[in-house]
Amino acid sequence: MSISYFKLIILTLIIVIIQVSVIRPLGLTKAYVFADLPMALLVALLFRVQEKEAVPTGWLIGLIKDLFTSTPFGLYTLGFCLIAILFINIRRVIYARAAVRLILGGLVAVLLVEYGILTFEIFRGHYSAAAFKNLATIILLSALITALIAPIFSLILGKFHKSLGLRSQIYK
Amino acid sequence: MAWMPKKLKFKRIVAYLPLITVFFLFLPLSVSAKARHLLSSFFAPLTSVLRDATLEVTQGTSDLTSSDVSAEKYRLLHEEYIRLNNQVANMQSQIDIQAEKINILSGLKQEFGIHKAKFAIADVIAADSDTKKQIYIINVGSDLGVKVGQLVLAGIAMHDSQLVFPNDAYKMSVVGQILEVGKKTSNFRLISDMDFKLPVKIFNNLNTDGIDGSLRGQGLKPMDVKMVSGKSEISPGDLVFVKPNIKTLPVKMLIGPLTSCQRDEDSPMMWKISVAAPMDLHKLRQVVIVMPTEYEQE
Repeated sequence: MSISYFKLIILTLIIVIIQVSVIRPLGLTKAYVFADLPMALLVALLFRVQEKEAVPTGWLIGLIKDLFTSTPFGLYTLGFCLIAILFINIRRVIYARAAVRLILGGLVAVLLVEYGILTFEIFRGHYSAAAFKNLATIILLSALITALIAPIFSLILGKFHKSLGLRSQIYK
Repeated sequence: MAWMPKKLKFKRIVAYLPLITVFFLFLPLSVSAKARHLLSSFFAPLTSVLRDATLEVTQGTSDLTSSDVSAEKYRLLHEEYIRLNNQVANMQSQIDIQAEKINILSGLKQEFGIHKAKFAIADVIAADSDTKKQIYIINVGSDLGVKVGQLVLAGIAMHDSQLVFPNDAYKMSVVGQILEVGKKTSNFRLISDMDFKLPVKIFNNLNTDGIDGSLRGQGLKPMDVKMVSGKSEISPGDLVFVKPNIKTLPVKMLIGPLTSCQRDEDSPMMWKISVAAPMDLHKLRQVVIVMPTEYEQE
């Protein structure tokens, strides 16, 4: 069974549209911090796709996210690809319950990608070093929310695994 | 390449995907912006409806509501409070303009008033998908004359059924600045975004000429005004206005009142000032873009 990339594109588009229209007004704190839904989807998928499907999956989700953000084009695509490579190599090494692995995965993935992009943007002169503390808090909060959403996405993907061409159980 | 088995070719392409992506980073900004705006305008009807529905559901809830004050009554009172606050501040600005008119009538100098700017009303259709950024997408673009750097206003006047410009402009405040322009959609950065900077002036009874400063967004915290000399006399409640600029906003316009001011610990010669946002910036439905026409003629 192999993943249906067409259905993956449709699913990612739906999730990104929900993110930019519905989720933002529901955000937390004064900065309306919200979950990174495409990242939660990627983490949930990376525990269900075959090894060779991981990088194209990360690439597609990252590309769609890049098209809906004003971050320099390609940063999220690259970040999501690298997360896919990392997760494929460590998913069989971590021994824990499925939910714990997904929560940890979501947390690590958001922190790595967002801090990577933030560092890139600081070097390009977008943000001042003084802004780093505030942004770091926003990223951490977003990572925590995303981590909690990843297991929910995994459950939903489990229900529709056949039509998406995924494994019914996550890799152990 | 024909001798290669199909599966191997796919595997190789997959292996090089991250490397291919690195080339994306060198794409000209105009190309990526064009793609983004095309997609935004394509999905605009859907995202706009979803956003409006979410705001409709979440509106009116407040911690200050009680058995005596319903959520709806609180919302109306709060709106009225903001309206009166903005009205007082901007009326003061209008008085200044009228005072300037006396000079013009006496032929001393040329006026540059708000009536010499065009306005474009826009719906906020979506937010940026990056949680760090406070950037929103609106449904007007270069075909209506929107340009990068123009200021974005919003306020209580947006709730009125018949909006008349420039007569209703005094009810509004500056909420952002245009960041990127497509043909039919544009992005604007909120004044509370971490990357937002704008020259401002602080006015009070002691300083009728205003004290210069630089407004910066703080994300999680209220906005602050930097570069204000410690020698200036300011106090909480003083008003922060955008510094008039021929290219962006020809008259001074309210941003918000000072909520706190204390000596900056990092540089004791300066003030550390916090400014309250004029409204809930993340729940904007409609905004107005100011397009000064005088500058175009030059």
